[in-house]
Amino acid sequence: MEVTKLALREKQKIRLIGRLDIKGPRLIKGIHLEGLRPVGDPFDFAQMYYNEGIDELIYIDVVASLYERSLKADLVNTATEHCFIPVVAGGGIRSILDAQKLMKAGADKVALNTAAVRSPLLLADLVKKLGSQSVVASIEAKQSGENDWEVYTESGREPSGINVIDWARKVELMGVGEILLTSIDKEGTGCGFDIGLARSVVRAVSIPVIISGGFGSLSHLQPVLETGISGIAVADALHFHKCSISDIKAAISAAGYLVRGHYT
Amino acid sequence: MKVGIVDFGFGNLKSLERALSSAGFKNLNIIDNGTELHNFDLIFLPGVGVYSEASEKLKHTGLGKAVKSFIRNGGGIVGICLGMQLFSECGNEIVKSDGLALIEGEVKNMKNLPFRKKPLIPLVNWMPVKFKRKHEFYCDLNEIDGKEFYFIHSYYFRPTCEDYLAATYRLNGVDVPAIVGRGNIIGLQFHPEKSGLVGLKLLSLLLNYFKGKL
Repeated sequence: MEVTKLALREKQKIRLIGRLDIKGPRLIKGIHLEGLRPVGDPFDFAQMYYNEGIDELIYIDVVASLYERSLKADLVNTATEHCFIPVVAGGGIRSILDAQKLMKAGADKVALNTAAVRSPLLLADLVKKLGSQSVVASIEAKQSGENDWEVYTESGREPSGINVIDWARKVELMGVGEILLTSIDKEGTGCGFDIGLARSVVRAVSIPVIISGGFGSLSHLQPVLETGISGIAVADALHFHKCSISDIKAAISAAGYLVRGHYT
Repeated sequence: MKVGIVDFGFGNLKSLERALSSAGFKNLNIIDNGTELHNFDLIFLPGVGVYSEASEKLKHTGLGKAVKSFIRNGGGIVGICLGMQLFSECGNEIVKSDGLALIEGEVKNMKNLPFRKKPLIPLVNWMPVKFKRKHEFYCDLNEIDGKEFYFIHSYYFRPTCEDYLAATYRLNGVDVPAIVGRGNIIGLQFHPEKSGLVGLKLLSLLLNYFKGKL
């Protein structure tokens, strides 16, 4: 028993991350990103999650690349004012300058999807300039076959023709620190994570993978934890108070994994 | 006590500034010129990025020399993440490059540590920090002993002299340096400004520590 406790204490923790999808100034909810519905002020939600013990926050401007703009620096500025935990910012980042603006405004990491797929070397340039720990590859994937997923850009609107495993390996090669992996099929459904997707990508890379999309009930946690993901990003379930951060962390802990603030 | 945050283009200054302010540091200034250092009592050296580039910047701007001189004259310094690693004699990220040599030792890649099971690098996680009780920092900082802080790093700095190692976190059988330093020099591998309330608590403990020393 003592040996197990010691081994458990040395393991890394599962990170619970609050994901806030933004359109303009508003937090939004989307099912498969059709029909975006405003939920409210993202900062109120973020502050609440921070107070309740969330480990990290992700802000993504979901229409930025569509409108050829990037997430506003002043949004990040406001977002990080009273939140002393790591913040990831993404949405339409297309250049080192875009990324630097967000870092200067308070973001700890920048997340890229569309621009990276169009030009993978941009990731390598960002890594060189900002360090791998500051660059997250945001991968949005949709199932295209029994064990195949296709990468989508433009927040899940544009198919790229690229296989998710090939892309995951490529971004790792470019030097990114982490992957934020979103299942387009599961996002907004509350029906559970895409276990196959999570498992396949975790197996293909040696960098942390954060899974996103589909969380709706505490019973969804055990299966996704078993895939070896390093963190879980939750959006709707938190925004609509389906589960509390405390409940989610307790459930992760009960499943035999470590979380910040909870110990077995 | 006049406190400054050194801006050499490699830090998340805003978060640190806000956190320090929340923790009770009044009279905060941003320093981007080495010639201003002598006006301060305590400086923070935050850092996020690549060691070799930061080293180049410190040399090129003369800030490196100015910091060393500041310390020699009794100033206090807190280094965070890359800032802490720059206290070393040299680093091995991309190319071998010089640090500030405030503490003997080299910065190395975590991949080389004898982990029982290889963790994912960069290490991105909240780890409980354990103090060495005989280290002088223990008296003033033990309130945060065992608490979880946010780490994000691929490189580590283990001082050559054990006396400079104040606290570690344990991962897969290895004790990874978390806090280094002695006297007026404190280096934090983790980000107190990103570690929630416990991070703010540490910053306020540091405020009291330096008030007593400087």
